[in-house]
Amino acid sequence: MKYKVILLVEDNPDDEELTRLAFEESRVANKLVVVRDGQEALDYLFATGKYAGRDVNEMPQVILLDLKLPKVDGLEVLHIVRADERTRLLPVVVLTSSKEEQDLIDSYSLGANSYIQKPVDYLQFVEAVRQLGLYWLVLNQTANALQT
Amino acid sequence: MLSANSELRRVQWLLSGLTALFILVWQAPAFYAVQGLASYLPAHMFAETFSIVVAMLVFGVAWNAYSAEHPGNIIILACALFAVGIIDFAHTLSFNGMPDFVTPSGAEKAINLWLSARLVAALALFAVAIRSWGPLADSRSRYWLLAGGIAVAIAVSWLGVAHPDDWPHTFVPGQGLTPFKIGAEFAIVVVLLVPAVLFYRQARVPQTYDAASLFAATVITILGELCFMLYSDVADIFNLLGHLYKIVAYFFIYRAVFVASVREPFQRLDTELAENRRMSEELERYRDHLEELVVKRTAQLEAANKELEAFSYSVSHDLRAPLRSIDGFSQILLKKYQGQLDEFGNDYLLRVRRASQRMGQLIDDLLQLSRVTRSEIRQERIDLSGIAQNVVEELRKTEPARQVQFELQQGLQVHADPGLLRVVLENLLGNAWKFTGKKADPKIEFGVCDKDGETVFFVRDNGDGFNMDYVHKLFGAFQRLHSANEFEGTGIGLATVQRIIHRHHGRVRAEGKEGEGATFYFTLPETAY
Repeated sequence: MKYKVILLVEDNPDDEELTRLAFEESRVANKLVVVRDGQEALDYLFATGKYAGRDVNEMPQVILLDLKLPKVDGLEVLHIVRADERTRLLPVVVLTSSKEEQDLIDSYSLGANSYIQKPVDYLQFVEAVRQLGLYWLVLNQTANALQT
Repeated sequence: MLSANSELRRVQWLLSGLTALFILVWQAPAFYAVQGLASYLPAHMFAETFSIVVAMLVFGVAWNAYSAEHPGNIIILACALFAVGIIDFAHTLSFNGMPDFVTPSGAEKAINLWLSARLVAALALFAVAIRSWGPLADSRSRYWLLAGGIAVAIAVSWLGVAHPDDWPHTFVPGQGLTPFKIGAEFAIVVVLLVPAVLFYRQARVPQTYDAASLFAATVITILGELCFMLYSDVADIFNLLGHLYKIVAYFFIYRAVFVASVREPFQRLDTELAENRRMSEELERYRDHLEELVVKRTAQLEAANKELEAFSYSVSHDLRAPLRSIDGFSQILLKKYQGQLDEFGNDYLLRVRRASQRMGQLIDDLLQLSRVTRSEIRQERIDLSGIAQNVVEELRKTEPARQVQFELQQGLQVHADPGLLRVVLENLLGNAWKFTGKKADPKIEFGVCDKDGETVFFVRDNGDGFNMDYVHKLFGAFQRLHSANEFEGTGIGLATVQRIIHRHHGRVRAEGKEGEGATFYFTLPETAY
């Protein structure tokens, strides 16, 4: 079986690299697709703009979504993803610096599957990513509609 | 306040006119007949009656409008004019051509009384001019002044009416005035010059009394006296002019007294009333605008609060991101490039990581402190003992190897915000955990006790303690009593504790001894139990 991709929506190149390394360390083999803002994330998911021509049936296994993003912010992306028939069942993990309770409430209200605050301590982050990979990529059964 | 200069200018115009009239009559002798004016007696009667009425009016107004704050000078003038009025009355009855009154009427008899009255008036003006315009030292002294005035009036009138022959000669019919009479009038003029000068000077600056009118009265009296030095017949034009001047002078005294006794207090009252009205209008305006003001201020506060929230949001998000890079890449260097760094390089990278993690903690603590201030207090029934138990378990997980004896009182329940009270216990128990780290037999207690009839919660440890000299610094943000080498910390924890307890309307304090441990007490309001 071919591994499905992980869509990382992250505007900070450092965080992108750290996430990539953390996945590497946790032995997650899925390909990491990185988009830099909310609009690009939507373009990828719906095969528009830069990603026109991409097979729209190839949905990522999980979306790792930062909240504070240029152009279209994370919560808006989440809202659109949940509103669209094609993507509404996709697992979305909010992965953000914010510890604000309001962000947590908003994320879950809009249908986020999980909320992870990126810790300053890198080792804790690696551990979080390891568990995330274990759960969303190995253990979790996604709805049949999403299986290709 | 009377506008000083316009009043004085008006008075000066009048005085110039009266002086011109005097000079005109003086320099044109053809106008008057040496033998006297026809039907002078009724004219004299009329003039004197008028001046007596004015003198009594002055007394009546001043006496009845008197209050303890009124200027004493007004009472002095009033009592003097009362006496002058009585003497003038005796003078009128004694005038040449009047029916006999006790003794036969005659020129000298009338002149004696006249001179006495003028002297009393001149002395009164003199006294008023040199005395300050303060109230009487004792308000009862006005009765003494009145008694004095009446005594002088009766004595002079009696002497003048009953013993006209005991007075010096003043007038020789056919020849005119004696040197004594002219000398006496001259002396009165000299006495009057002093108040004339003083009143003039007083009138040039604003006063609470009518100095311009007093100046006018004095100068006109002097002009009158000059007339009485010049006449050769008691019924000639100088005599008439002198009486006219006297009436005008009395009118000005009346004005001054009326102003001081009636107009000035009324004006003051008016000003005060206007001020009162202005203030009550302002109060009304404030009342009407209070609502508006509150709305505006609330909006401003809300805006400020929003800004603060936006600020702490970006602190929470943006300030932490670079720290993650610093810590993450240091860790990756340590691991991936292990062999390429010597012992020092490794140590420095560890220091970098520790510093960035400390800063991460600092940011978290600061955010918590600001959240404590911003967030609404929820009131719920909470199991404080349960929370404490929970916190202790968390602490044990951080350092499983440590053996710490905990004594937690069970069943403590309060009405308070569960999240915030948890933060309080996390900080207090966390501190106790931290500061007992170097003790051989660490012991931490949490419970409730009774202090001065009040229920007080406490967290006690037998750790490193602190010096009571610095107890006041304990609860300030960023205040630390230990160096980072001894015990780690950001210095924000106890400030947060204090804020939370204050927001619950409770109090918090600490007791400690260096090397022997510390106890933190906090109370919650009665309604919390």
